[in-house]
Amino acid sequence: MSFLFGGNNRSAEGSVDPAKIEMAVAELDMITDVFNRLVTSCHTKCISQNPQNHRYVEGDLLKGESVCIDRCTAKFFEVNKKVGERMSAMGNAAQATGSFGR
Amino acid sequence: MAESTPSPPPTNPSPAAPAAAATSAGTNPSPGPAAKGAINAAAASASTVKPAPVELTGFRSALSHTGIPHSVLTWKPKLPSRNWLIFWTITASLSGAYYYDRRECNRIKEETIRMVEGRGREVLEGGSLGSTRRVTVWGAKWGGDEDTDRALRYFRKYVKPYLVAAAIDYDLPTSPLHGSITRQVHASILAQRRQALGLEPLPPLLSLPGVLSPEETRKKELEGGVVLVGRASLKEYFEGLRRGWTGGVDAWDWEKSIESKLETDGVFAEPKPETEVLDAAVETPGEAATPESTESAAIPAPSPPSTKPPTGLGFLSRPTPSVTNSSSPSASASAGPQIPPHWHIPPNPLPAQPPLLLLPFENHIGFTQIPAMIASFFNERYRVREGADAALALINSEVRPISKDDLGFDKKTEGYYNKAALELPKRIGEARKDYYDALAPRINEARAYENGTREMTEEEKKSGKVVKLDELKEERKKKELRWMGNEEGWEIVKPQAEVAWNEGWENWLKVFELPGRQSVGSSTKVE
Repeated sequence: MSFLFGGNNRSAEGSVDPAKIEMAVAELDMITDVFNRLVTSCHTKCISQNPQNHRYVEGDLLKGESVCIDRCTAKFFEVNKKVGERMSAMGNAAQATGSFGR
Repeated sequence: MAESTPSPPPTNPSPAAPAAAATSAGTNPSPGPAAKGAINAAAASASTVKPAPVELTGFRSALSHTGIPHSVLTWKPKLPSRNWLIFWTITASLSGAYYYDRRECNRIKEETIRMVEGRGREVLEGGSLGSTRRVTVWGAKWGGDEDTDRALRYFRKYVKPYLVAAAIDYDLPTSPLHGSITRQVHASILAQRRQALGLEPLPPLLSLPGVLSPEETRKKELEGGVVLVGRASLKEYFEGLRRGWTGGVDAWDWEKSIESKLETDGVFAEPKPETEVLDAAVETPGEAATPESTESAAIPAPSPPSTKPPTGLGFLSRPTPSVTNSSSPSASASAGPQIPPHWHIPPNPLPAQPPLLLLPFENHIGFTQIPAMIASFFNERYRVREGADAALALINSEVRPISKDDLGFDKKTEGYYNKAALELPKRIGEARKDYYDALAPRINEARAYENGTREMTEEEKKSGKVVKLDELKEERKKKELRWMGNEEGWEIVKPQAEVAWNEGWENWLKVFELPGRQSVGSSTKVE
């Protein structure tokens, strides 16, 4: 994350590299997107699974919810990593052959 | 019945009589006895061509005026044919057995979940940074089964639902080979001992919210527990404990020990020394190729910190801690020789261990065990019950000291190891021989190419690459890791081998007390 803020500082100094800013923005968008997806899926799975009963009964997390969220997050990142690896492998293969996924 | 008494003859033979009347009445109105002809004449006043309807007696004659069709009133049920009876009996009893079994399973499961789910609804101490109880589950490979996570799947199916309901987190380390559990437990205990003696640096503590100090981690671990699925896991785990706690504290890494064995056995020895051997020796330790190596790298410090920073943006840096752990072996290698001998003496008393849960597990594979598979298919409920009992024991956390009787745990399941399992050492020996026979010419070819004494063959030109000596070494290392690991593990697991045990362990280890059948029964009655 530090490079993001580094980029911002440099922009304040005036020496802006538009390509880098572009990259940083894209990166930030991606991270935000991942985060939002994570929150949505794990919230749906763990918190609101039974709206009739025990939804937001307490101000704090319940134990069951906490375990669920832990595992959900871990699983989410695991899948994210695997998909990312697969995508980059496909990308490399596409670069090598010149076409994507065909 | 009072009305039917005046005319008993027509009611009694009536199953046969209508049919006889129907077939005969059309052609010849009076083939039967005189009595029957008279009755027919009396009853059939409307039509003489059609077969005479059977006379209704008793309540049927009364009901005939209510509009109920005649055929309904004269309907006589009869058994289907013999073959249909056989078919229906078998079908119904099988499906009934299946249905009953699964309904019982669901009942037991729901009942148990209802008993424990209150614990999952407690508020988490420490807010969102708090952590719950966490258990480690060891499921050893079943001898002769290619599927390595059979025991863990058993756990997931029969025990996990209750742990989820009771909000107990669980770790499922994989054990791809026989003896993997032993090696992982050994490595983690060794790391713990060495860290305590200062031979190894402590894993760096992340400065993130929610990360526990080592003492708290240790405490959590002790509160947690260890689930051993099946007898093989018990044997492997105890052997790991014995090696870890009663052995020396010299640096040990399973993969490196195998590597050093392979270096010296001279399969790749050559007439004149080459530089590539050195290259290979430098390169190989960095390669983390087999599943065993990744698991051993992840295990040395089973530290919840790596999975416990749930706040803020801390999760973004989650993968880092496990990477830092792997630096320990290299640091320890330098500190090897100058260990004072008294450090090797196991600590007395041995540090407390998390209590063990012994979960019975048996697995049927092979043609000859098909009857057992069928039987188990219709008796799922007993396993569900066992799993629920085990989960309750774990959740209620009532412990007792282990006794020597526990070492006989699940002993009968060892009878189910099939021939492939019992002959494992032999099979490995054969595979090894075949492999080395095929390997020798490949080594010669690769060496010849690398020395420049031969050109590429046609095939190699087509594919554009030549097998290098290093690749062969790597390939052989992978194979030997599997073989040696399995051989070593099978010596621990095989039915003839006893569970590792030292005097005094009965005061050291604890097991979860399984609830007695009747106590579970009584609690279900209350519900």
